[in-house]
Amino acid sequence: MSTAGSFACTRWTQVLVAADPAHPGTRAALEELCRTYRPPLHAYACRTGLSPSDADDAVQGFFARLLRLESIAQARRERGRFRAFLLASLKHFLADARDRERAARRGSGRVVSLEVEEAAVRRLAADAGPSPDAAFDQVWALTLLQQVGKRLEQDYRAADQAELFQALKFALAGEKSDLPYAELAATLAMTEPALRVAVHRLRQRYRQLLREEIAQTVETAEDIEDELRHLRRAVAGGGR
Amino acid sequence: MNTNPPASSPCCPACGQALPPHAPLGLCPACLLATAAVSQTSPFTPPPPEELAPQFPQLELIELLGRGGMGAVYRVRQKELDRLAALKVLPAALGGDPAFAERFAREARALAQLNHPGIVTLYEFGRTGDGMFFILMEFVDGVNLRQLLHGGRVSSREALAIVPELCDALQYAHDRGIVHRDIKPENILLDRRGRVKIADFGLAKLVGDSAERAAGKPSSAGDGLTAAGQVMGTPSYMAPEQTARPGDVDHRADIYALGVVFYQMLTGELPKETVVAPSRKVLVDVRLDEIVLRALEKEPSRRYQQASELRTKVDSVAQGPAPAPDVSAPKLPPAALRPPFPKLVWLAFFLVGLLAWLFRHADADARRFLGVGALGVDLFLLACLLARAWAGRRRSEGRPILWWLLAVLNLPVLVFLTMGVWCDWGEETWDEGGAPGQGPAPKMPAEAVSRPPVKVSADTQILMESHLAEVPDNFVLSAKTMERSNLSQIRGVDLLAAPSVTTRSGREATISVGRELPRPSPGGNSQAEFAGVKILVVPKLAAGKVEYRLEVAISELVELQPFRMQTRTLAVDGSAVPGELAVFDLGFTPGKDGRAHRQVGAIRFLLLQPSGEEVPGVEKPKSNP
Repeated sequence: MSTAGSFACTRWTQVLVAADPAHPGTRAALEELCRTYRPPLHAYACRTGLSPSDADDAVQGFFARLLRLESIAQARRERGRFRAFLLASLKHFLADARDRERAARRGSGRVVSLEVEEAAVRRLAADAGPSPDAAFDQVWALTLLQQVGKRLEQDYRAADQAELFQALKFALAGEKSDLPYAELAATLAMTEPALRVAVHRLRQRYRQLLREEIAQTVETAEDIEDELRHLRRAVAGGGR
Repeated sequence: MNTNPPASSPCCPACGQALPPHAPLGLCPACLLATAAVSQTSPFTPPPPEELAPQFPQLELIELLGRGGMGAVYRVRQKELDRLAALKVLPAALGGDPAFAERFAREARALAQLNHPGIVTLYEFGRTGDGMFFILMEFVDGVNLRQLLHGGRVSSREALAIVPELCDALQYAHDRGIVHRDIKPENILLDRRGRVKIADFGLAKLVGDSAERAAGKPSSAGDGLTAAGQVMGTPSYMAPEQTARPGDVDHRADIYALGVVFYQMLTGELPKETVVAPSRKVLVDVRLDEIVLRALEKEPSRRYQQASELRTKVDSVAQGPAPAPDVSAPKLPPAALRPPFPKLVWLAFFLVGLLAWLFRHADADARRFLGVGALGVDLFLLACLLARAWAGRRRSEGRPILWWLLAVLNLPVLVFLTMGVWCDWGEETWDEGGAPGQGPAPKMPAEAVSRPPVKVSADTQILMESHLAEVPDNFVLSAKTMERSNLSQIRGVDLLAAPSVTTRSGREATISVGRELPRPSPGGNSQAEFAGVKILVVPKLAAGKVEYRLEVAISELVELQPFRMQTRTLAVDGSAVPGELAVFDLGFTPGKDGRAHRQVGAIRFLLLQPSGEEVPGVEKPKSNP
């Protein structure tokens, strides 16, 4: 994906600092980063009771506001993790939207309806899944991994090794050493040592890309491992 | 988004968890993250010799010698030749990087061109079946210069033996157009017979044989690799141009690095931004300064242009008129003055002088340890002198008479110190005079002091009267720490820091001197720490015959038991020292166990009425005449 070019190795806070109207490149980069992480926002909005299409609209509206200059200026002050920042901003936005909606209803003389809230409660009760925050984090982790997966696949495709990637990608799930190397080597027409090296490299590259991806969303390099731990917890907690 | 998959969704084969609908790469996200959590920066773990053995049937892998950032080195035996060799193996993961592969091949080719006793010989290089790069090379049984330098520096004699050999080896390589580019102590090996060998022409750049370059193609493969933003080398040893313009590096970068190594051998330190001449740091021949500084010139054109040139200069020093490696004082005839521990003797001389001088000027408190210290050092000095004189007599070299003479001259000092220490320890506690030069003050208790009747003037009367209520405003109470020899600091406390009158209420003024220090023990109390102070009590009153008692109390700190109240009586004659009522010396006597030496919280001043009231009482103020 093109963030690799425009955004890789640039922390989001750096983008914010550099973000000024005269510099559309960084704005575009930030916008792209936001769009990448749209699914977790959508998941959050859904879990708070919005219908999927309402959630879509809400996230759309949220982005429109987020990417205006004043929000960016605010973000500059807040810093920290991009994930936390996005979630906090979205919560803010949704609360605002609810207020506005209520005000509009009162203004039009209609009785404030509890319909929306009731629907939300019903949905939540029916689907006793994770909390909106947990859902956000889980989907965030999934999105991140998908992102990394895409980049990894592209890397291999660029090196004309798409088949190798398809054959070996299962080795990315878990650090198992007891892979059926001999069989695999036979099917891939490789020597076993070469296969081991290939697996090792695949894992290395994957770790590197994942950290690069996380690096974009945190402020300092020290935060990367911490964020990774957080995401692991989020995913493990959502497993059931 | 619904993250709860339907029951029929596939499960992760590794952990058994159901896969979410949009599982990345169709894999379990938890397992993916688990894989990622293995630190990417895990260092290269060299495989044990047994594991490597199948890759190298022609070799017997003996042991792992060491590992660095770029690989591991094993001691091996070539079975056919029955020859020891060193096998350098690089991490397999590096093999995927074509730039690395290219660099590796260059390192090996560069080494293969070189055949010199000062350069580690390459036997073979290649890549194993599983993609691992290796270099088989001469085994050097010994240490590297880094290990030799571990203790700091080497003697200049050793440095003068090592540097010419390095120059020869470098000159040989430079003549073949090969620049090492990473000369550093780790790459300089010394075998058991003291021969010097340069290893790892790993970053060598082939200048000479690049035909493309000659043909005017500036971006040969070599240039491309080194110009790709990768500054290769070890920062401390890298010539300035190596960081600034990595593409323009020539053999003079090696001369710079050699200069750094030379400097480090002589001084034990790396040169700073502005290079301090070695002779200003340690005792070395000043002629070496010029050589080292020239090798370390920032501008390549100002350095030695050839390693051989540097060698010539070093040789001229090594074989010059002053062959002694540690020529500390060129004006002395070399063999004459060479005590067994020359530096120690001079240091001891200096120390004895310093301590003796301090001893004479210190107060009782400090005298104790200064005296003992000086005595100890002096005894050591005497021992050195006698040893040297004795050795000189037996080997009939040098001038033993000089050492005997020095030893004899030292005796009075020894006697003086012994007497001083003896006298000091004989005394009980506070033995210093009230004011310097006034002789010892009478000892406590105060009641025992007989004082002449005090004639109280009107002014005094006012003073006496008012001080019972509070220290009068026109009575300036001040304290001043005086410099005590050149000991301006003791244990981190600035003795010259101005003390301050911290409280002044009633008839008490407290003067704190020294500095509060956080107490290291878990007790949590802070403590003040200071040495001697001089305290001046200065009245603004017109001079008159005044005599009264000034009580100086060293307040006790809660946890510091050994402090005692010190009460001293001062006979103060206001007219004798106009404007200065009292100057006296405070030394803080340690308690019997001596542990709380110099640790005092505050000094409390009590201005008291004279005891044995011959003076008209304070109740009876006189009218101003």
